[in-house]
Amino acid sequence: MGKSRSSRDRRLQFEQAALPHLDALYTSALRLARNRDDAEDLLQETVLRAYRSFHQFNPGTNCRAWLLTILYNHFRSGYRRGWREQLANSGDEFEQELESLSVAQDDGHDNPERIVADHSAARLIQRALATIPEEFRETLLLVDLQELDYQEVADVLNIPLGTVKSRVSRGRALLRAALEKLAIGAGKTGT
Amino acid sequence: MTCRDYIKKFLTVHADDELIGRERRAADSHVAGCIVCRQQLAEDRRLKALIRGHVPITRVPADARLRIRSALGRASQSLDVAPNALEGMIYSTLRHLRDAVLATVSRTGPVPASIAAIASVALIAIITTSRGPSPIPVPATPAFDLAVAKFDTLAEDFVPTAPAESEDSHGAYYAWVMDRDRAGSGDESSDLARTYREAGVPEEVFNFEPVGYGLIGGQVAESADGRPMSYTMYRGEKGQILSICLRAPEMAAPVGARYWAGTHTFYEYKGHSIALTFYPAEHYISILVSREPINDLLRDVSVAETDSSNS
Repeated sequence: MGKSRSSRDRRLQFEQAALPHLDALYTSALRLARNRDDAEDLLQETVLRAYRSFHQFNPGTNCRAWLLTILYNHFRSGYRRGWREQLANSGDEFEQELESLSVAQDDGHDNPERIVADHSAARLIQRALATIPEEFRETLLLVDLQELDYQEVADVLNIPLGTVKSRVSRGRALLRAALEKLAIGAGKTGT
Repeated sequence: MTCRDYIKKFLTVHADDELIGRERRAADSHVAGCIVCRQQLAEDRRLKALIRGHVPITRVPADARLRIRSALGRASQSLDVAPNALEGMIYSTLRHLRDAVLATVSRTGPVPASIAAIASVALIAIITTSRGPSPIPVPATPAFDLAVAKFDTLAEDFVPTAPAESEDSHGAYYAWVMDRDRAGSGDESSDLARTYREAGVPEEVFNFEPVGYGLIGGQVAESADGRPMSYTMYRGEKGQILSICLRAPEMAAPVGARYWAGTHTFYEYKGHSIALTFYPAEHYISILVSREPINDLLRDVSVAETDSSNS
C-alpha cells in the first residue's frame, strides 16, 4: 500500500516537473527527427526514459535542460535506424513544413493586421534560420527559444562550453546577415 | 576595454546574461559609455527576442499526448513491480500454482503413478522455489565463467582494439572510434554498432548514459573455435559493465535466474551480476556482466536502449 502510494507520488512529481515541457521537447524532437511520426516516437521514448531515471534528476535544476539532454542522447544513440539518413536527405522542404506547422498553430488574439505582421515576421525569421548551418541553428534555438544557459546547452549537445559561445556568436552573425538579405529581397518583390 | 575587445569577447555572452562578477561590471561600464557597442548589444537582444517571439513552440498533437500519458501509466505500473515486488509476485504466483495443483490432486482422488510423480517433482520444485528469497544456485556455466574472468581482467584497463586480422581499414576505424569516444563527441555508439555489423557480430551497443555509464569502446575478438565475438565496455561512477556477444548454439539458459525482464534473464554468479540474452539469429548470445547489485543491473538494463539490428 505504502509502495503504491509512493509510486503514485513519484509519478505525480514527475508529471508536474516534466509534462509542462512536453511542447518544448516536441519542438526539438521535430527538428531532430524531421517528421511527425518519428518526433512523436522520440518524444514518447524520452518521456519514458526520463521517468525511469527521474531519481537522477536534481530538483531545483532546469528540468527542461535535463529532458532535452535525454532527448538528444536518445536521438544520438540512433534509437531508430534511418534517422541519420533522413537528416542527410532532408533539406528545405522540412523547414517549410515546420514553418507552416508552427505558424498555423500561432494563436494570436490580436487584430488581423497584427496577426499578419506576426506571421510575416515568423516566416521571415524561420526562413532566415533555415539558411544557416544546422549546428548554429540548433545552438541558437537552444539558447534563445528553449532558454537554456550555455552550460546546459553544452550538456545537451555534448560539446565544450567554448564551442557553445562561438556557435552562438557566429550563429547570430549569420542570422542577422540572412535576415537582411531576405528583407531586401522582400522589399524588391514588394512583399 | 576597447570596442574591439567588447565585440569580440563580450557582446554575445553579455546579450545572453552569461557574464558574472568583474567581467559583467566591465561590460556594463563599457556599453554605458559607448553608444556603438550599446546599439550592438541592443541589436543582439532584439535578435534573441525575435526568435523567442516568432519561432513558436509546436504543440504536441492531442492523440500523441494521450499515447504518452498512457505509456507513462504502463511504465509506472511496471516500475512498481521491479525489482523486489517482482520477486514477491513470482513467489505469490508460484504459491497459487502450488495450491491449485494440490486442490486438483485432492479433488480427482487417486491418480496414475506417472502423473503423481510429475506432480510431486513439480510441487517439490515449486515449494523449494517459493520457500524464500534465496534462489536455486546457478550451476557452473562456462559462458558465465568466461564473462566473469573477462570482466575482472578488462574492468580497469579496457583498451578498444582492432581485430587481430585487421590489415584492412578496420585498424584505423577502431582507433577512430576510440578517439571519438574519448573526446566525448557523442556518435560513438552508432559507429561502434556499425563496426560490429561489419565484423559480423550483433550490433549490441547499449545506451547506459541515462544511468551514469559512458561507452568506453569495443573489441572484436575470436572465440576459441574461431568464431567472431565482441566485448563492449561501459564505465561510470558505479563501476563498469562489460557486454560480451558470442555464438553459442549449445547454450541454454541455466537454472537459478533471479529475474526475467523482456528478453533478458538475470543471474547472480560468483560475486557478479549477469544479464543473459539470446538473439534469434545465428545462435548469438549476449552476456552483460557487472559488479553492481543485481537489482541495479536490472534497472539499468531496463532503462538502456539496445542498438542491435539482430533483435
